[in-house]
Amino acid sequence: MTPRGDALARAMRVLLPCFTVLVLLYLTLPSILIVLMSLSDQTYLTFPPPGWSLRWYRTMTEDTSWPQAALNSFVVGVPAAALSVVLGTQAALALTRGRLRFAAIASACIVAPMLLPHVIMAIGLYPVMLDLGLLRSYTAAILAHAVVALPLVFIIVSASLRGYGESLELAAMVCGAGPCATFRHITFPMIRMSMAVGGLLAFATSFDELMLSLFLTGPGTRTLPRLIWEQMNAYLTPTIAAVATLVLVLSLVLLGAAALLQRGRIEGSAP
Amino acid sequence: MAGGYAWLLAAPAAFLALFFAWPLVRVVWRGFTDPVLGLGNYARVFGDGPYLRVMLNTIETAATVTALCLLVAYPVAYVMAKTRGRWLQIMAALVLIPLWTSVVIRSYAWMVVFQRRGVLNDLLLATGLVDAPVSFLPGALGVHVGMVHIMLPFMVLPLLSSMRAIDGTLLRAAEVLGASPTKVFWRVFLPLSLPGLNAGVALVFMTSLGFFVTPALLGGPQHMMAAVLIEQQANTYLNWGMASALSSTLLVVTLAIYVVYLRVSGGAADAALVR
Repeated sequence: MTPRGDALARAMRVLLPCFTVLVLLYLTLPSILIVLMSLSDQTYLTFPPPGWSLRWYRTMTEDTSWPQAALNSFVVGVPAAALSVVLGTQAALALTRGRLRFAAIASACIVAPMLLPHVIMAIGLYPVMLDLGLLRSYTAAILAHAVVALPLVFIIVSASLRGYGESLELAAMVCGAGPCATFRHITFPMIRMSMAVGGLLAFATSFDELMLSLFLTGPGTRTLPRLIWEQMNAYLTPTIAAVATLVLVLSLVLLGAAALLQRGRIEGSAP
Repeated sequence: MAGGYAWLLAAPAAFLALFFAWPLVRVVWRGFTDPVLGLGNYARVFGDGPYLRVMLNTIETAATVTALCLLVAYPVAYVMAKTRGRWLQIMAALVLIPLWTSVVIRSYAWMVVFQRRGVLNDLLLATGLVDAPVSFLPGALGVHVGMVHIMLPFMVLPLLSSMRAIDGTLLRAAEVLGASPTKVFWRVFLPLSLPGLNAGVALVFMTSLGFFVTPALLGGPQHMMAAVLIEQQANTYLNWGMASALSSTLLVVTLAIYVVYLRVSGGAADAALVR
């Protein structure tokens, strides 16, 4: 922008950055509050806490339901992410490389589970899982979470496939490589970073999903968000803040991993 | 060769047919048949009583949250689009971190802020703005603040990717031709950022319609939203016919917005929503 300009534009150059700082504070405030409250020495939730202690982290490890729920979240999240990656990548390959006539409609249908309210799917999946005898099993939660996480993998891998174009794959096929060899030696190396990022996001989706878990898991298979939800309705203690802090740390580690992978993807894309 | 790729659609299509489409069919069917065949459930949804009010409140809340998100996110995305290097990375991280914090936990944090002996009341009492603690919960303020907080990154990211794709030479050309900075913004920058704006609005509106945790914790019976009502009908009252009819209504509203968005954006859903 040139220095000449009207008064409004000049005012905006000062006001907009100030506004942005305020919004970013608003975005980070709850996370900071949670971490501070988890270190409180009081039973009642007050802020700022009158004193500091780690007693709520101890309470959390002593109550077996928290470690069990955390374990359940992984037992559900990892297979759900794996299933999303396999199916999402297949769908992305079919729709970006297949030249299907109804590709636009098909992609709208594949993306839809991510956008529709989870409660609708929960109401529908409950009787389906009941019929299949899967209700309250890990399998029910894994399948349901894969449905809502698959679109993320599909979107990310599709974007990557479009970015690379298909000339390399065609070249391989012209040189006599079969479809499997082409995928293994050409396509997969190109899109594996996107698949990994998609898988991480799929895991994060499952790890944070409440509504489907609320309907489909049982007391033995309930995931972390469900236990947090149940505890929150019963009593508000800083134990929840301690759990939340650990979840936040784990999320930040995953975010860092995804960022590193994405950087690798961008550097890897340079010929 | 292309035909070979088409076969890859078989597994995902079968999976989604069984665990996505079939459940939705069951929901719609059950809304008409449970407890008896007919329109009884829908007569109650659209008749006098709390159900219609909750559905309308859901749409109203989602619209308000979308508008607030747009008003807050546009300037932020604008500043981010003009920033380069380390500061952009820091800002992007601050926008992304809440996205990776559990929705349940963030609503819990807002409870701590808004409760009777919470952070906000402490602040108001300390500054002498009020004499006695104000009761914010349950209430619309908490619901709006909590929901905007959760949806804001989903508005900022599409806007940012759209704004970063704008060719700077177009803005300079308008300037050279004598347009004031304000005019450059309204006539060139804003129209070019519309794809991101459309994606953000569609994403935020559709997601807001299905919100459960935030209104359940912060809204109370006066500000109940559809997902809370549906969960309550199914899990508390075991009234699955009513829950299905309410779900079908919510489904129609959400799908209508999705279809309008796909028409407006004119592209494949996955390309349109890429962030």
